[in-house]
Amino acid sequence: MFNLDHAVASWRHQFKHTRTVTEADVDEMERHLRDHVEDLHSNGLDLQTAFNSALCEMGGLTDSESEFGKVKWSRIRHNRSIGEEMAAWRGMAFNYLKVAMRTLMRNPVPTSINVLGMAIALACCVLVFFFLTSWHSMDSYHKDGDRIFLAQHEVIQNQNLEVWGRIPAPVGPALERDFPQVEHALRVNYHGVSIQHENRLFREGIIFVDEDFFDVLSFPLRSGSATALADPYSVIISDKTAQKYFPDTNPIGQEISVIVDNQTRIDVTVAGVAEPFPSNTGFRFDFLMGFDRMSELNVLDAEDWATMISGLFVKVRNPDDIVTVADGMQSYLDVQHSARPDWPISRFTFDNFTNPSSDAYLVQGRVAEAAHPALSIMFIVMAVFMLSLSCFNYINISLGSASRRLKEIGLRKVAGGSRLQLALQFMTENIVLCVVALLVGIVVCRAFLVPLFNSLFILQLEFSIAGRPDFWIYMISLVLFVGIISGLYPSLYVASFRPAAIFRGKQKLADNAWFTNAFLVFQFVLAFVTVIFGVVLTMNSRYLVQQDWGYDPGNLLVVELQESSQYDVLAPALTSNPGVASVVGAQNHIGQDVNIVDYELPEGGSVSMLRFDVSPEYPEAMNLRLSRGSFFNISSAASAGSSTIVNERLVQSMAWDEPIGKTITVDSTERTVVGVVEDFSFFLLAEPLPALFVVPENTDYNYAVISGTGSRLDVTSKEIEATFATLFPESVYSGFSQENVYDDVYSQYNTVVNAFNYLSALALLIACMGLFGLVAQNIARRTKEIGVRKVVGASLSRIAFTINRRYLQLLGVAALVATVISVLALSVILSVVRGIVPVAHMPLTPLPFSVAYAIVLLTAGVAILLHVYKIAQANPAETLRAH
Amino acid sequence: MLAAAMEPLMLSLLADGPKYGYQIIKKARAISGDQIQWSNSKLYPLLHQLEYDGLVESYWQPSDAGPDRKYYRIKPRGKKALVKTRNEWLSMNQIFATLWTPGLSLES
Repeated sequence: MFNLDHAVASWRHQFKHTRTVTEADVDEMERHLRDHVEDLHSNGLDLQTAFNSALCEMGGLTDSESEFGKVKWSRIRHNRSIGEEMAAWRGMAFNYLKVAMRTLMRNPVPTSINVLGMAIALACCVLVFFFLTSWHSMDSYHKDGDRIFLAQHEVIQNQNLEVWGRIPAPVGPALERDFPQVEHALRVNYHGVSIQHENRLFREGIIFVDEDFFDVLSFPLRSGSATALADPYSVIISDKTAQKYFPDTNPIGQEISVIVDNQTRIDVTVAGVAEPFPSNTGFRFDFLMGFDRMSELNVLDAEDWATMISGLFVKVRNPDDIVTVADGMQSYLDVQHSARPDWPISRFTFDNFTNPSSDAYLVQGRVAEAAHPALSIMFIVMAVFMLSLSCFNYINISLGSASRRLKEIGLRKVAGGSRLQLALQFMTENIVLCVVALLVGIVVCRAFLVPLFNSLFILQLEFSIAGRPDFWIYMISLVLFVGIISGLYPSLYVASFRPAAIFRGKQKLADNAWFTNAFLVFQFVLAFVTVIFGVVLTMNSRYLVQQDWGYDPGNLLVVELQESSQYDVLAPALTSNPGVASVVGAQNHIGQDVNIVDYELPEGGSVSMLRFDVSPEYPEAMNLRLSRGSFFNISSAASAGSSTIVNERLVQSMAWDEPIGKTITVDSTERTVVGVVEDFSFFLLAEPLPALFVVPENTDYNYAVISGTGSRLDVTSKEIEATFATLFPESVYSGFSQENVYDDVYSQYNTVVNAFNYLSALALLIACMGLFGLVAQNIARRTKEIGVRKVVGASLSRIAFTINRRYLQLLGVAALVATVISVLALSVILSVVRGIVPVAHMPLTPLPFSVAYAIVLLTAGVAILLHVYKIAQANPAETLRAH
Repeated sequence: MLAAAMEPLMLSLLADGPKYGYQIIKKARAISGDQIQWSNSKLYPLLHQLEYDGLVESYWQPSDAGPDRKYYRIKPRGKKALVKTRNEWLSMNQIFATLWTPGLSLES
């Protein structure tokens, strides 16, 4: 018995596997069919005949398919909607992805080398991202930042235009009075004090601020109240300070003593604790107190135009108002000039606080730290460097591994794969690899690089990627960029292979092509260059330590005095100590501070010289080496006061043949040169500067320089500290051995050097991974050849040499190119380093280059030898049988 | 059947109201005296193309008996296109009528 529904169902079934006729199309046709059958049936045909006849008229499957297909494909070729386009590609993309995953899993060695190299490079990029965002968004979190400005002034000193962040104290109130546009003029002044809590004494800085501090700047309080600034006996502290002084207790309500200028002691109560500062904080504080407290403590007179305070934040009602304010406030110049004829301000300016100008770092005495471009450049260069190394690595290895995949490529092409499809397949593999590398890189950055950075630099980075859309946008675009850049060439290259050539075994491989060689050379040039720089800088840091300072610091101890009156008490007390040979005073001290004076030459021009105001005994006590004349006449104050001791560089600059007896006028006092000392190192500068020692009339010494007698200098040092503590219980002891006077400079320098060394180690690692990968590919490709060579009796060393000869040649070329580049670029790098830490550099010798070559070649050698070991282990019978 | 005539024909058939595929075939057959015999493997792709071009639109409507029917309705753009092609065909018709005057002998 004929069943129409069954017949229709089986008719429908034939459309199940067609791609052009959709379900809805079939529904429509089915309704058509049923209508037709019904018509025929009602005209007297039996159901089965009606069905067959209707079906016949309808046309068969192939007709339908091709007619529907025409419409469908014409649409695809014309303008498909984006949605349809995506749907059509989704299937393809998924397929690409699947094949990419399989291929990557099947070749674990090149894959892991690529992932690891890329991960290290991307980890550097992640680090640089955090650094740059936090460095260049310094203080940007303050609310209404576009309306907050820092006042600055310009002044001409020694014919140079200088910009200063300090500002005359009365400017703030004057602005609030004279300009309705000014909402707040927030004065801040930094002052060094001693803080005592229980029996501990620390040297600290207090910032005295106006009461509207928290209205202008967004520093939320963790506890306590912002109104405490109005209370003269309250202090607000930072979170860091709270942890330092009150690690276990609630700081609110705790008492501390503030000792101002070593004389006035006041007891204050902690009334507020700030939340921890974000990592991108340029303006920070430890202690905050009300501004008005300063006049009571005799710190400064806020009414006096001669007084400068550390800074002034101005918050205007409208960002554009600042121009009016800046123009109007030039009228204050007259009163300032009469108050400070020695410091005539030529102009007041403003710079936005949260979005400062790019040269804000040049502003002297700026209250907020500003981004220094040298560091940004260094980090960007580093990231670009690492990325290009990894990209070249990828290109090299994937060109190398293409040889293994020749058959796959040939088959794909024979089966109808288009060039575009093949290229897309390779591209997908690369992007998958990059995404994996990014994930690994983020972990590497979190686990190693951020802690490393924080241990090297003062600036602390926070690793937070949650709620950072900018991070993900940057990273995803980076991955896509890197993926496409590094994948473009290999995928297009591979896609261009001709299948016939592949199967005939005639496809030429990238192996011999010039670009593989060029890439490898490029990588090793980069590795060589960084290693050379690293070695030069490392050797230089040793050189700095071994440098002759021009005097013997061995037995010298120095105490920094909190105030000059302490010298008269301390010196006699110390001379009774058997470990102390002598105590001398100094206002300036070598390695610590100095006056720079411009000495006008009678015949025109001027010489910049370092002027040390010291006691008459100082030059001899410092073990300076006399080359001519004598030290100061200690017995006669008048004679010492009218004489001076100069260094050899000064004699040179003045072009004196016979310096002894010449005169030089300093501070309108004519002084006769009585002695010449050898050049000595101040601040480890490259060139010694002309320097002279003069004996001032007053004895307001800032330093006590103590010569020890014996070898027990450390014991003496402890005894001195104990003596100091009993004599001045209100003062914080600050003393050091002269040998350690440059320790800060050394450690700063070493920070830069270490950063460089890590960079060069990473670059070397990536380059060697690239080499390792290439050698692996090479050996895999030449297994048969190696087997034959072994069978006919070639020695292992001979095989290793033959196989790797090309790489050795390339390394040689790389070394040559790198040497040239390094010699040319070294001065640039050194000037960048000097921009960060100004120190002397040793003359360039071949030694650092040789050391660098040795390091790179040894590492590269290890990478190659690992494979040679594999060759040695291989049994030729096995490998040949496999072929 | 002239391929070029398919589109104006279809639009003309739809001009007096929405129809479903089988209806269209039946009507075409009736007015042409069985001269026009569309198989639905030609009909539906054409309808879909017209729909894609934005000249007609379709909608499903439940029927009293059997599954839903898919109706096609001419859109304003389709009407405009129809007017335009109608004028072209009419003028073409006139030209041919003049060319093929009864006196012209085509069989030689």
